[in-house]
This record gives sequence, structure tokens and C-alpha cells, in this order.
Amino acid sequence: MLGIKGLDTGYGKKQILYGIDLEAVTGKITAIIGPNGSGKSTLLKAAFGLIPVWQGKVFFQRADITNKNSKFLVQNGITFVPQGNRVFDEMSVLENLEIGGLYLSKKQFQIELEKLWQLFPELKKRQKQNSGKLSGGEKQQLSFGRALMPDPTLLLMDEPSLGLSPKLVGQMMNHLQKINREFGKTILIVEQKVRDVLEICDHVYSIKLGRIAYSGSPQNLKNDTDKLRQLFL
Amino acid sequence: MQFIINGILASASFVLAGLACAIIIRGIGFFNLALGAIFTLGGYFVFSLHVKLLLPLWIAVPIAISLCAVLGMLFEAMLFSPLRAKQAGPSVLLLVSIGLYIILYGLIELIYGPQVEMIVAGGPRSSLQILGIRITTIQLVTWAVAIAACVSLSCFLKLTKGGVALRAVATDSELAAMSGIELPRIRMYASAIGCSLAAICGFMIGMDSDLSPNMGMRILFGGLVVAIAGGVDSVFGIVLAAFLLGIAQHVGVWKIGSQWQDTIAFAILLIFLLFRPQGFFGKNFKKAIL
Ligand SMILES: Nc1ncnc2c1ncn2[C@@H]1O[C@H](COP(=O)(O)OP(=O)(O)O)[C@@H](O)[C@H]1O
Ligand SMILES: [Mg+2]
Repeated sequence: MLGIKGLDTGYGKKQILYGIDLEAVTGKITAIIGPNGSGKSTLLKAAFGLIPVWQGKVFFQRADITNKNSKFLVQNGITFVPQGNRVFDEMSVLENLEIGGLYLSKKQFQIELEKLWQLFPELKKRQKQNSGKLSGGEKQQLSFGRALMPDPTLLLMDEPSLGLSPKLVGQMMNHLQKINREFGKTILIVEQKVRDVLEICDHVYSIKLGRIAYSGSPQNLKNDTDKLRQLFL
Repeated sequence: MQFIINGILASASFVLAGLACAIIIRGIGFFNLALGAIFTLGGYFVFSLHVKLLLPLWIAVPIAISLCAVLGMLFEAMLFSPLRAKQAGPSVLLLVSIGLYIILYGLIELIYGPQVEMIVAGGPRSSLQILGIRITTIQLVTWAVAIAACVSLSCFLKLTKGGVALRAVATDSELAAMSGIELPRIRMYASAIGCSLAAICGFMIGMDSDLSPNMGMRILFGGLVVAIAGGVDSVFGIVLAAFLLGIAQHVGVWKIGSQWQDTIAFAILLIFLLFRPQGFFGKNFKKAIL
């Protein structure tokens, strides 16, 4: 579904990523793990056209989408959940979702909204509330919700577990599986909660110092504590 | 008492100026000082079209507003948007906008000359008596326009897709971009709306008094005070702040003299920045700008 080939990028003149090759397979959850500052967020931002790709290509359903802007990507079925579960905190829950569904017709919007209320009933109760006043877990759900509104085929997620309690991390992982299995969305997720994400993903990549250091099945990694430790050293 | 009433009657133009400033600050993410020249141009465009080209006001005013809106879009498209693409931050953009103001001010003085001009010939203004309060026709019209601007702006921001997108950009432009909103386009709209409001404000003030090339800077300053005191994202707060500034200036003129008007405005600005930077209701001004 999403293919990244030989991608180099960075900020200003400083290169962060070197020759990244990666694939997110249709219908699967693909995880990216790795130590802080290794370039995971940078990779998602480059794939989503938020920073320029220097070298290499990004493909989506075989079309070249390298350096396409985010409006184009959203309209063509890719959405992005940025790091920190950010919401438009001066706006209501419903307005946040309106931003997500900005390019939908009224009718489509209602259909997507109903699907979302089923997944996140707490948000429905709070739809008129200012989203800045939501709890951490609710903000996390809202940031998923905003990205789900356009009914994308692929979701890019950057550390949705950040700042959540262990119990809420578990709940978030459940939602993630539902989004993948019941809604049929392909997911590419960056996660630091390695133990949890290895339980639910189908394939895992590890990035270290801007390069792919591991690519394989989560089962192998789960049982290989030495390998895991080495990837995070 | 009379001073308080007069202060409130005169504050309609502050409402318009405050709305223009607030939309610019929030929508494009920095305080574009070239807006000062747009206030001036709003008056002078009507002067050219109505007094020089003898077009009726109902044609001249919409043309003048449209011209200012186009200028606002050009600022964004030709200047600020390319600068942002080169990683220019809000402080760089602010500096550039000072330069832009100076250029526009110079052009206005070059074309129209430094002397004072009038849209309507001098002489006593028509006025009417309501509940024993004397109000000039132009004050009444300015209030009608200001109220119409408040209502339509509120409706636009709350009820339309474009308005909701504009508020999203104002709240968190980075997240807005990540959600698929085209920032350059929304900022261009915001700039056009802010400049249209400024043109209307400049024209209404030009109808009430006279035009001079430097009139816009004082209006801009008043608008900034109102926008900050009102909270840059609250229409109701802006109306309240306009009352406050209008009353303070009128009482000030009566108690200590008219040369202190700007000082009073500045004092209000300082008090709010020090003690209530989020304004009466709205969000923190610093957060809004940076
Ligand atoms: N906006 C930025 N400008 C310059 N350098 C950045 C920026 N964002 C991140 N970096 C640098 O890029 C590197 C990778 O960051 P990031 O992709 O956020 O890492 P991760 O998400 O894996 O923790 C870090 O060294 C970080 O300091
Ligand atoms: Mg990160």
C-alpha cells in the first residue's frame, strides 16, 4: 500500500534519515520502533509531505506521492495522527471532527460521524465541549477521530500512547486493532511502548541513527530480548 | 455621563478596527503592520472614486473594499507566503510588514499629497435626537456597519467550512496543515477579510472626519489595543474593549486634554498586557501570536 524507497531527508542542511526502505502492507499494522531522536517522526513527516524528501520516493497504491501536499493526501486516502495527540483545543469536539471531514459532503460526514460515535461513545457525549477540557485519553480518541473522518485507507500515527497511563495504553491498542480489523484500515504506527505494540502489529521496523536497523516479524523480536536491547542501545 | 455616552457612540470605529486587527493577528499568525496603510487606503480609494471620478458612493465603496481585499491577498501570496517557505518566523514577518507599511505610506503621500482631504464637504453634520441623546447620522451608520460586521463575522467563523478552517489555523496552524488544510489559501482569505474590515473602518472614519496619509497608524494602534484588551478571538470581548477605549478617551479628553488620547490608549494596552494578556475572555495574546 505505502512504499518508501531509498528515502533521505533532514532539516535545513542537517541530514536525519539515510536510504530508508519500508513498506506498509494493505490491511496490516506496521510498526516503527527505535530510540528517541532516531528519526521516526521525521520519517512519517516526510512520507506525509510535511517536510521535503531529498532523495528517494514515496509510493501509495503504486502512485508516486513524493512531496505531495497534505490536502492531496487526505483527499486520496491517507491521514496523519501527529505526535502528542494534539487537538484544536479552543474548538469543540464536533468542530475538531469537522476539520477532519472538511472535504466530505454533508451526507458522507454524517455517515462517518455515526461510525465514529460507535467506536468512541465518550466523544459523542462530549461533542459540544471545548476539546481543550478533555482528559488525556479523550484527546487521544479525538485525534484518532479526526484522522478517521475522511474514511482513509491508510493511517500514519506518531506515538499515540505518549502521556497515557498503562490502562489507557491498553485501551488505545484495542481501538487500534478495531480500526484495523473492523474498519479495515491499513496502519503505519510509530510507537515507544514496544511491548504493547509488538502484541498487535504484523510487521516491525526499527530505526537507529536514521537507518533501518531491523525489519521482521514481531514474534521473533518479542522472544529475543538481547536483540531488542541492542536496537535501543 | 454625557462623556460616557459619547464615548460609547464613538467606539463603533474601534469595533471595526479591533475586528480587523484580531482577524489579521489570529489568521496569519503575526501582526501585519501594513494593515495601517489599508485603513488609510480604504478612505483614499473612496475619495478617488467618489470625489475625483464622481462615482456614487454605493459603487465607490464596494470597489474600494474589494481593492483592499485584493491587496491583502497579494501581501500573503507575493510576500509573506514565500518568506514563510524560507522559514521566516513571526518576528521576521513583523519587520517586513513595517517596511511594507513605510512603502505604502510613501506611495499614498506621493499620490495624494500630504494635505488633508475630505470625502464629504465640511459643515455641520446632520444629527438626530434619540431619547434625549444627540447622535450624528454617521455615528448611527457606523454602528449599523459595526454590528453587521460582528454578526456576519461570528456566523462565518462558526457556521461555514471556511470559517471553521480559519479558526483551526488560528488555533494551531501546524496541526491544521497536518489535517489537510491548505495554509496559504486560508491565510490569504484571512488577510482579505482583515483588509476588507480595515477598508470599511478607514472609509467610515473618513466620512466622519478627514483623510490624511498617516491616519491609518493611529487607527491601527486603537485596533491593536481593542484586539488585545478584548481577547483576539472573542467578538463580544472586542465590542466591550471598544467601549472601554471609547469611554476612556472621551473622559480623558474632558479631564486632562485631547493631546493625551494616545497615551490613554497605550496605558490600556500596557495594563492588559501586564495583567490580563488573554483579554476579557479570549486566549493568551502571546500564544496567539507565537
Ligand atoms: N524541526 C526540527 N528542526 C531541526 N531538527 C529537528 C527537528 N525535528 C527533529 N529534529 C531532529 O531530528 C532528529 C530526529 O528527530 P525525530 O524524528 O523527532 O526523532 P524520534 O521521533 O525518533 O524521536 C533529532 O536529532 C531531532 O533533534
Ligand atoms: Mg517522535
